[in-house]
This record gives sequence, C-alpha cells and structure tokens, in this order.
Amino acid sequence: MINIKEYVKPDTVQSAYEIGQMPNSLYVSGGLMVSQIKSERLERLIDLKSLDLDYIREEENYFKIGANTKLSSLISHPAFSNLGKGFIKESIKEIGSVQIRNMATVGGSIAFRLGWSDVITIFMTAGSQVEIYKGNFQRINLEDFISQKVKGAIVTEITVPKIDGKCVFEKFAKSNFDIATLNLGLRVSLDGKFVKEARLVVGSRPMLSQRIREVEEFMIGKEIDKVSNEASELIQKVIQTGTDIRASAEYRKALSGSLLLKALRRVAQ
Amino acid sequence: MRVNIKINDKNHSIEIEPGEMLLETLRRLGYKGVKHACSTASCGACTVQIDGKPVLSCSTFTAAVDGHEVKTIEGFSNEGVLSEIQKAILEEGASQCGFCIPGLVVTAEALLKENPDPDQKEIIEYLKGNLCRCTGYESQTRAIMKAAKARRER
Repeated sequence: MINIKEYVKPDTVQSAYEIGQMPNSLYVSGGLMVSQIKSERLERLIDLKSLDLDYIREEENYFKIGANTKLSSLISHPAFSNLGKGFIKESIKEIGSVQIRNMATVGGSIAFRLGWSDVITIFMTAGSQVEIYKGNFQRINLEDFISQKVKGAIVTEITVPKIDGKCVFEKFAKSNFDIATLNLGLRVSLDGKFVKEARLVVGSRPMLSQRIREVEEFMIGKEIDKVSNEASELIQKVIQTGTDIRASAEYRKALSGSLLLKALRRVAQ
Repeated sequence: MRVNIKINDKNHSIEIEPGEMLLETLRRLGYKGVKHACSTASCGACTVQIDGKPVLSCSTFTAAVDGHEVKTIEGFSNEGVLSEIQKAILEEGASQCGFCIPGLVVTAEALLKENPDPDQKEIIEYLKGNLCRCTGYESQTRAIMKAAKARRER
C-alpha cells in the first residue's frame, strides 16, 4: 500500500493538469511504475484512465495512439501487423510478460523517461512524436521530449509515422522478461543496395535512449552488405555508456557493436 | 473511499484506502488464493483477471478497478470441482510447493480463451511472467496442453 491522502479520477485533461499542479501529486495510468514508488511526500494520485485516451486511429500518413493504450493493444491491433513489416508489434512482444503488457500504457512508458525503457527506443526508432498537455496541447518529437525535462506535463498521445524502410529492434537481457542490459533500434531506407537514410537509437545504456548520429551518418551512402563491421566498430568508439548492477560501461560498449551487427544483418536480409 | 467491484460474479461495495493495492483488498475479503510474493511485478503469483485480462494485483491500485470485474483463482473451480487446467496440473505432477499455481492457472485460463490450441512455444511465451522455482515448467506446459485438448473435446 502507498500512503496517500487521495486518489482522484478527473475526466478532462485540463482538470487533471490543474490537480497535477498541487504539490506532491503524481499522475497514474497503468500503475506499474507508480505502485513501486516509495515516497513519504506523495499525497495524491491522479488517475488518467477516465480521459478517453485509449485508442489507436489510422490517419493517411501516421497512426495516433492514445496515451492510455495498453502495450497489449499494439500487439492485437491489426494495423500494426503490417506497419514496418510488424516492427512495432514484434518489438513490443519482447517487453515484459502478458500481465505487464496488459497493464503498462504507451503514455506511462514514455512519461517516466526511464533509461531502460524499450518502448522509448522502439518509438524513437519509428520517428514518433508525442503530444503533451501543459496548459495547452503541444506536439514535440519524442527525442526532444526525452532529452528535455518537461515537468508536470501530461502525455496525451503518440504519433507514429507509417514507416518507410526496414526497422529492427534488438535487446540483450538475462531473459526477455528482464530489463534490457542494452536495447537498440535501427531503421534504414535503401536506394538499391545503398543506405539512403538511417536512424539508430540505443537505450538502457543505462542512460536514456539516444540517437547515435555519428554511426547514422557513417552508414549513409554505403552498401548495406558491406557496412556492418565498420559500423559495429564505430558505435563502440562513440557510444556513451555507464555502469550499473546489470553491466559495466565497457561491456555495454562491446554489446552495442554486437547488437548493431545483428540488426544490420537482419536489415540486409 | 468506496469502490464497487464484481469479484467472481459477486458484487462488492467496499471501503478502501486510496493507496491500497488490489492484492491487499482481495486477501482482506478472503480471496486467499491470490498469493502475495514479490510485490514488484516480477513473479506472477498474484495474477488475477480484470475484465478477462491477466494482470498483477500487487501492482494494481484497487481504486483503479472501481466498476470493473475481477476473477481470482477461486472463480475458476465450480463448487469444489476443479477446472480442466487444475485437474491436468495434478495429473501431470505440475505442482510441487504450489505457491505459484493459482497465478499460473489464472494466466493459463486467459491463454486458452484466446487460443484454444496453443503449441508448446506459445504456452511458454504466454506464461513467462509466472515464475516457478520447483517444477522447471515442462510438466506445467504438458498440463496446459492436456487441458486444452480436454476442453476442445468437451
């Protein structure tokens, strides 16, 4: 049990935000993360489930995903079977367990800005945007949302473009139920055999997910079949990693090379 | 605060603390089949179904379940008659200490509802959130395949 004074369920984003400005308040969606918080100061939980943010809508060039959409809905929704050859669907299957995917929401997985989040790496690889409410609605790149500390905002929607190119997600963990020691997403557009565009995201470094632009730029214009070894060596030189209970910084650097090699082989197939 | 929850087809109107977890509420109400183990969403022993979906009651706020339907292990047997999955677990020796079994059965019930004919790989994948320190999962997988067959032939 968490020792709080009240659990409120506002029915509009605006009222949720207003309550959220009161001291010692916290937004809760799926509840997985909040239930683990041990804070003496927390007084109020603001449940976001009554905000009608559980939806997946297909537009001409992108999908809109409501922040309260469960991860399991991304697997079962037919639209995601084809998007990027099932990139979102197959990657989300790598996260947690059936129970966790039935609880965790897309918005909650992003709003907490956790370094080990597979969801952030997956959606950053897809080039997603995030809609937040902070007195008014704003839409920003997920990458910017992650790197800036946007305090007190409510994540309301994720926009995922209809992915052009090949996307793969790789993670290394002691079991696929465990938090990743390192995760990596790669999206590549090809012009024949040559790399036209590349987006490479690495998370669980253990710091927040980050694009590795030096490697992206290195790959552009090169033959996909021949770029693997050099790209794998380069990422180990340029990536910033840290040490925690799961692995040392050096181990993570080596791992980044292996995961990129694996991802490039899958993309080239 | 007061919440209304349907548990195993029975309506409950209950007074709860705002930060109370569903696991605590269920056990206080006498549903002791729901096991308290890790409290960190890691082991699956506390699994119950909410609106037919398996979730972890140790990490679910009771306040969030207001107006929803909960099914615990007690809801899957019928007046002391075991379900096919429970019977198969006994027959295949898939339970030793038994602590994980209620959560496992609740998850397996959801699996068979979604997929009445799962193969070994699908069972292992679906049940990876239900840890068992005793049996090594082979007998449990066998039991679920046996129960699925019995259910299809019923």
